[in-house]
Amino acid sequence: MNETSPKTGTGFAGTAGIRDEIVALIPRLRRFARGLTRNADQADDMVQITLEKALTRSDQFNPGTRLDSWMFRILQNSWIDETRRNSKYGASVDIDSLADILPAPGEEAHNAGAQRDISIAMQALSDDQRILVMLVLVEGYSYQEAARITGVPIGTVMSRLARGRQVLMKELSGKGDLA
Amino acid sequence: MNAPSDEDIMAFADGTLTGDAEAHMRIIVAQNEDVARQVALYQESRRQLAGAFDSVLAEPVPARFQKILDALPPAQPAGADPVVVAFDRPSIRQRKAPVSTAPLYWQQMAAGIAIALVAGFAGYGLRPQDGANGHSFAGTIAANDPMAIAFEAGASGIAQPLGRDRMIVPIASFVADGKRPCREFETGRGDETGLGLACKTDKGWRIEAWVATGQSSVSAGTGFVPAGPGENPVLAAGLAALGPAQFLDGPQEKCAIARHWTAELARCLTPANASGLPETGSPKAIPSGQK
Repeated sequence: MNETSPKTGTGFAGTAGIRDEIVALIPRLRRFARGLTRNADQADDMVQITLEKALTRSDQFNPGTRLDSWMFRILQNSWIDETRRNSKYGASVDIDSLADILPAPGEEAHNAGAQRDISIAMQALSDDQRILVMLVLVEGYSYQEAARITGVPIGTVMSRLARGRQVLMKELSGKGDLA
Repeated sequence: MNAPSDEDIMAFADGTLTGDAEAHMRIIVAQNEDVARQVALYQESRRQLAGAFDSVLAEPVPARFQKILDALPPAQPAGADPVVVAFDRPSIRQRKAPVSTAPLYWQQMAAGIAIALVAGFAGYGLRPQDGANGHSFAGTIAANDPMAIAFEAGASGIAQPLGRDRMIVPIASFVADGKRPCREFETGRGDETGLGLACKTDKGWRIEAWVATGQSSVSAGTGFVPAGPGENPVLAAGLAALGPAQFLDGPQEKCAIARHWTAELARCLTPANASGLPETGSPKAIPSGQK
């Protein structure tokens, strides 16, 4: 996977303020990773890998482009590499970890139940679909920006996203959330 | 009229079609109940996913990230918002707690904190070396998040569930800089506790600062605790960054909750209650000098 966006990237090493920009991105990177991995520890491992790659490959970043897109691309590529290398990640669901981030039923009954159902429904998606659902519906990226981050044509993005949302809706409606 | 593709229906539902394409889809949706239903479901999927994972934004950041970031220059661009990142307790234990002359309550809390470490903390008036175990979140919490619900409707001193075995306790309420409604709060799970500040914006409740304390300071449901950040460096700096704070007493807070923390809460700050002096069973005013 190549995280180089422009071939003329000059990097950010020594750039004042870049640390703050990366720091500000960490919570969003963790949210994205949590949605991909469904496991808090694996998610933070992916964020750590992302941060390390961002620093060691900073010369591949062009300061004129979006840092967030570049780092999200590193994270999603790292995740795809990881799932290919270790298929158990793709099937791993840490229920305890899930419970850590989501309120348990009976505590905040309505909202908690809906959030838990969403996390469980996400497990029915393929990795490609889950990445796009997270990028577009959770992170708020446009189809075009999601295409840039994932490195696939926008038509493919829309096709995968539409299919992913259909699967998601089917899963949720099965739990009565989309009556 | 050809049947629209899934991608067209989704794009229409997401509001990304324009011109003739959008007008064409509008006609189809009006004439075809099945397409209209699909549009509604795509819109529902967006609505349900928005904010679904936002609770992650409020979790402490692992300390191991800090070592990676240390390779970067800490300078912050002029005029930028302060950016603070919380690092988890392993690194907290690596540092000594600050010496405190605060009341016992705050000394006990500070002892569990260790120094707050901050990345790009210039906006809070601290240097990065002052701390890196601090914490902040750059995001606004979803309205349906249990934290936001606690800030919106929870009375100070009353614990509310935050996950399976976590809780959140609003500690005090105040108006920052004469206009921003804010809550001081504590989160806790076992011995993993933290203190934070959240303020309401036009987009919802936003965490302004948070720091791990390592020990609980609030007995849930037993009443109010002292308002104000005390000697907690992150809380004190976070509060200072918000501007002058006017703390609410019990009746004022109740009034503010009833008015949903909107601009109407100004009516709650009547002269009779504006002194901020503590009442029995009410949050105490912030001591002078601890703003």
